Amino acid sequence: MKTVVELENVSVFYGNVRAISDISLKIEEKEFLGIIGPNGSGKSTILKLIAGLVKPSSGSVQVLGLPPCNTHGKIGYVPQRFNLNRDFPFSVTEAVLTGRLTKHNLFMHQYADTDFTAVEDIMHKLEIYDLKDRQIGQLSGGQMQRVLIARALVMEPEILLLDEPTASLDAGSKSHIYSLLKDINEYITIIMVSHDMGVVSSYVKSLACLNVSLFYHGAPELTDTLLGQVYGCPVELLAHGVPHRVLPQHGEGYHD
Amino acid sequence: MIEALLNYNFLQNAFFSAILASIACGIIGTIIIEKQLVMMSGGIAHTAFGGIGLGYYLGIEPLIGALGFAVLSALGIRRLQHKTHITPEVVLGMFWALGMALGILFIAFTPGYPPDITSYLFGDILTVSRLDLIITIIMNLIIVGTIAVFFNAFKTYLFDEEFAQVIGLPTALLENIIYVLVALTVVVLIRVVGIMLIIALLTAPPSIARQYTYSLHHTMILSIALGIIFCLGGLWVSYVMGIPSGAAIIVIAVATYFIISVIKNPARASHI
Repeated sequence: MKTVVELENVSVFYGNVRAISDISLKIEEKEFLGIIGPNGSGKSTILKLIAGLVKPSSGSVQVLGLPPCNTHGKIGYVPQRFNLNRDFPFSVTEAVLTGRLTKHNLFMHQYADTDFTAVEDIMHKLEIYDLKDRQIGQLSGGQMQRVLIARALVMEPEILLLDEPTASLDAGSKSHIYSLLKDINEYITIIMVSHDMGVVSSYVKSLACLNVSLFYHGAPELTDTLLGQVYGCPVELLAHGVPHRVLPQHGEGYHD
Repeated sequence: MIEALLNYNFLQNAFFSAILASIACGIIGTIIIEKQLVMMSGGIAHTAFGGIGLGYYLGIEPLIGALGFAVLSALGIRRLQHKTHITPEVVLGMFWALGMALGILFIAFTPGYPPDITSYLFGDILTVSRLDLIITIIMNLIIVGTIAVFFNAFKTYLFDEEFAQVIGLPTALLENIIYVLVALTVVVLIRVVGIMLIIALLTAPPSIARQYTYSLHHTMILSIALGIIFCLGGLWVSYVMGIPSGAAIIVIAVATYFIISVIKNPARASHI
């Protein structure tokens, strides 16, 4: 197995705030890694390090054997959809097409026929082709998430990074996204940050538990002791099987 | 009015500068709405007043002074917002007031009878000179050319800056370019509606346009058309009734915006 991402003693500070501390992590090719941890644990920071959006304050990051700022086009990034301007005048097709843009031909750039074919293929695969002319603000959360995944996949990346792809989606949309990712994982390494650790552990191949430091990286088998360490309080983990819940049912919602 | 337009040079200048201003306004206005740079643009506009004062003080064309101040303040504000921990709004507020203060000081230092500055503050499209028109044409060429040539890059960047950075677009450069283009647009609009009123002409046309279209370039084109209607309408009212042109344009633009927004969003309007 080839190592595609390697973090060595990485720390990141935002001003005086330590986001992550002395993390070493190796991610193998075709791995499906779920990163879990409480709010402010640095989960998103790890993705941003790998994507080259954040520079380490100390330590080194290697992605596909390169520093992350040289991996353009090989990393597909799916940001949290809540940070995006949903009123942007953009159709689904246009949004996905932007994944075909590269830094090499920005001058007078026009999308080629091959770009449109690739976009149509990916939209069929993710079952969003029927929505192709919709404005992105008129999509449900799950549909918007699939548009963002399509935009990342149409780049034909080697690694797919997802930041909370299922946050505040209903159960149906969640399992749709997860099974989709499972298929994609046949040919692409996936690194995903998530809140719902129970569900995640039944889909991913390996799990990393993070709270500023890395507490665990290995097979997706969570124990109460480990979760207590990571979350700093006892966390109820219901019996393994599908689907898991970590906290008792209290309606759908995103608590942040 | 048509006959007067054919006969009078000053009306022809006004007519062309209204159209040129609307083009810059429609394109950059759309961008500042999507990127939430409305107050930022207001700040750059007011800082430009310092340049107008400097122009009078040095005896050069005040619009050239405004251009220098606008571009430098745009880049300065962006840099301070990125490199320091000062709240971005505070930086903006300081530049906003400092520009106005410097303008007043430079004019006070200027020897002789103080110039009339109201046309820069509130616009006077009927006094646009040939030189103003030439400056406006050059600014427009730069604005339209830059956006047209890198349209797909700007579109990607405007929607999602992080994604744009991950695929390797030079996002810092694109942001700088946008700030400079906002500064150029401000200079184009000073003669038409004046420093104090620029924000409304930048925001009203795209805010109306985006209620009717779901594509970035259609929003820009529709905004340009709306801007032309507002500016020529204001010019006509101002010529016929002998009232200040900048104010007439703004009243028409803002009134149209509110009427259309209420008609298009009846449910939302009843909540207000």
